[in-house]
Amino acid sequence: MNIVTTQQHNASRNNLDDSMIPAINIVFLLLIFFMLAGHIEAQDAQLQIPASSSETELNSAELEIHIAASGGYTINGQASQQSLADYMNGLVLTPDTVVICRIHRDLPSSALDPVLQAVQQFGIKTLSIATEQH
Amino acid sequence: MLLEVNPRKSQPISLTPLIDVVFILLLFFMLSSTFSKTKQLELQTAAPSSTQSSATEHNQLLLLADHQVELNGKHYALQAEAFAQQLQRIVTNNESVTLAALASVKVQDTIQLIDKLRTAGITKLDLSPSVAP
Repeated sequence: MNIVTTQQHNASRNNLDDSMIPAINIVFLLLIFFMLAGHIEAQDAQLQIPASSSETELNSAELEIHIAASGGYTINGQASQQSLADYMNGLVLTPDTVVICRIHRDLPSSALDPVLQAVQQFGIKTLSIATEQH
Repeated sequence: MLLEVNPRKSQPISLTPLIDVVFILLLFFMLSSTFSKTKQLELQTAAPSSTQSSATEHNQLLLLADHQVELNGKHYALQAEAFAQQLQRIVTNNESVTLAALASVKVQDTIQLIDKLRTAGITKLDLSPSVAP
């Protein structure tokens, strides 16, 4: 009698495992989907780029300017104590330099002025603004 | 001295801890991954006025606060039909537009207006530095 109950126990456990397998398959599929389709990006509350319907792929840039909500900026990853206008004036750029600006969406337009002025001064025709697609 | 070797029975990994781990991984990827793609908006920067060609008709567009614009000195609401007609006129005559925003207007609003102008079909669009109110 005892033997029979253990067998029943084993059988029910096997059944449970068997019925779990499709569930695990789905979970694995979901896992792989999220791993491949999504990409992990640093979500920085200080630097939320503006939304736009632009379809142009993001190029790599020789000069990447980040302007955060605080007004602080980094140029190619390096912060500086100078004002952005002073820093930009100290640079020497050729007219074919690719410049990308990541600017916080809620900043006033005047925050972009030092970049625009410098870009004009060096004769660079286009300035790219990083935007987020809806 | 004889060490007692305790030969472990090879147990199959039970499913429950495995599923736990997989669920945690799943949750992590679901919560941390973003699907919105970063794109770029290419802007022409306004050339100094001396080099601007006088051959094509030139329009000055100023973005004011509260979705108001000033086109060549005249006020329009962004959603107004009159403004849409003006845009249509610019597109058909293939005129150029120089856009400036008031210094206090948010970057997002400027980008939105540029989007609108591009969608309307304006190709000759320059962005110039902001204007103090």
